Formats: sequence, structure tokens, C-alpha cells
Amino acid sequence: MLSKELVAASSVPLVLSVLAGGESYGYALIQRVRDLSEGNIVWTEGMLYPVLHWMEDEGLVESEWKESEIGRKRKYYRLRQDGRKALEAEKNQWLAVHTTLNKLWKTQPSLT
Amino acid sequence: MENSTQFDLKDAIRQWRDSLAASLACRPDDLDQLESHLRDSVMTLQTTGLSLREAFWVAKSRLGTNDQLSCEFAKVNAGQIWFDRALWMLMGYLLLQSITTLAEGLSNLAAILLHGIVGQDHLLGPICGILSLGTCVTLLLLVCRSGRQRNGVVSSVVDWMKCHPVTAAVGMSLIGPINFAMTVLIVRIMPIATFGALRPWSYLGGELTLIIFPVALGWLLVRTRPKAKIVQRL
Repeated sequence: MLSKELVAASSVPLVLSVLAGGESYGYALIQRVRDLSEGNIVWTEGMLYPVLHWMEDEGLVESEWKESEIGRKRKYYRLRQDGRKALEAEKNQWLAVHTTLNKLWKTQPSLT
Repeated sequence: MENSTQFDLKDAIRQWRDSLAASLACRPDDLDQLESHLRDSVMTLQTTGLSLREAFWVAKSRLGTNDQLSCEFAKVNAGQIWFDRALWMLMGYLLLQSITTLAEGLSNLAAILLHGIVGQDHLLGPICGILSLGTCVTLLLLVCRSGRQRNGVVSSVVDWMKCHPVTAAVGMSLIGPINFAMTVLIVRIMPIATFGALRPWSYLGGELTLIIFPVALGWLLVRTRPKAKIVQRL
């Protein structure tokens, strides 16, 4: 399980990355992240919505209420141009951390 | 496993939604979105074999406590919350102003009728005084009684005014000029001594309202105070 701080820090890049694959709604976003992380990233589900709200205010995503396949309305989110740029920036930062840690751990095999 | 038909999901969701709405941190759109999530979650959990009641409680707890949600939504909706509070203060001021003006207007109307039609000048003062005071007290009581707290949701005449801004604004803006016109009429038709004797009585209601107002406000606040929180057990 991730620490609280890491969950908070990774929520925006995770949402941006899922939305890069196409529009989605809150519940599906959470399920997708939970499945991909094999249960390691578990959000307090309601907390995602203020994050999405903030991302919309920042112009990273846009939303629209649409009727779902089961006939109930859901708010769908999709990436905007600024969101794509933000995703690129996030990607570079997270990869920089990931690559550095990987290199360090490879030279110190006793740690793993 | 209990019989899931005993559990009313619609009612449980309404209660959960009402208690979340009471924090004033979530906009109706946020509540719709959270409700949609809760319903999706309940549906998925039921397919894993949980009863409707169990699925609801698990889905609710996964969503987060009301305190957690209100705290986070309050950060992103800070502007909206500030605006709502400012609107409440403005509406309260306008309402008080309108009540005192209306009371004075009614006592003016009574003065015009008594003087012009009945010709009973010696009754003018007491009747107008009682009328203006009675109007103020009655209207303040009505405002206080309009404050309700049902399932954690505060509603009052202020909410009605928010829903009908045009009617409220037109109504309030008409009271002042009408009252002014009646005062002008009284000055024209009444001897100055009679008018002078009448004035303190007409103001009685308005002045006493300023004393009664804090009491009425206290009553409104007590009526609409948040009830003790229900401890969420899972």
C-alpha cells in the first residue's frame, strides 16, 4: 500500500494518464487505477472528486453529464490540451525519479 | 443474510445526501456526482454477493466520511461558500429592512383611512402603534418559523428568496416607495399637530423590532442548529 502522501501526489498524474486513453467517469477511474495497481493504490473514493474539480478549474480536463449505458447520468471527464501538456511534464518528473531509484537499487542489490 | 427488500436504498441515499448537504461545502452538482458514484459502487458490490444494506454501507464507507468529504470540497468550493454566506447576510439585512418598512407602511395606511374616511383622529396613535408593532412581531415570527431543519438540511425564507430572486427583489423594492408615497400623503392631508402626535406611534413597531430582532435571530439559529452526528458504524 502507498503512503498517504504518495497517494495524494500521484492522483493527478494517474487521472491524467487514465484519461489519456479516452474519456471516463469517477467510479470507472478509481476501478481502473485499483485494478492496474493490483490493489496497491486505494483511494478514499470521494476524495477523487475535489481533485477532478480542481483539475477542471485549472483547465486540465473538461466534463459533461451524459446518460450512461444503464440509463443513469454520469459526469464524464476528458483531457484538454493543457492536460496533455501537464501529463508530459508529470511523466518526465516521475520517470526521472523512477530511473534514478532504479539505477541506485541496481548497484546496491543487497538492499532488495 | 437479511432480506434486502427491507432496506430502502432510495431513502438511505436521500438521508446520506441530506446530511452531506448540511455541511454547505458541496454544490448540488457535487452531490449528484457523489450519488452517482455511490449507486455504481452499490451495484458492483451487490454482484459480489453482498445484500443491498451491506453494499450500501461498504460503498458509503469507501466514499469517505462526511467530515473528510466536506473538508476537501470546502477547499475547492471556497468561493461558492463565501458567496452563499454573503448572500445570507444581505438577505437578512433586506428582510429586516422590509419588515420594518412594511409595518410602518401599514400603520400609515391605517392612519390615512382613519383620518380620511372615519375621521377618528384621537384613535390614530394607539391603533397605528399596535398595528405597526403587531405587523413586525408577526412577520418576524413567520420568518423564524420558516426555518426548518430536516435531515440535516436547513431551509428558510432566505432559501425561498434565493429561488425566487426576481419576486423577492421586486417586492422589497416596492415597499419603500409605497411607504414614502403614503407618508407624503399623510403630511398633505393631516394637520401638523395630529401628524406630530401620530409619528412616535408609527415608529413604535420599527424601533421595537430592532430590540426583538436579536431574540428572533437567536430562535432561528436554535431551530436550525445541526443535530448530533450519527456515529457511522460498519
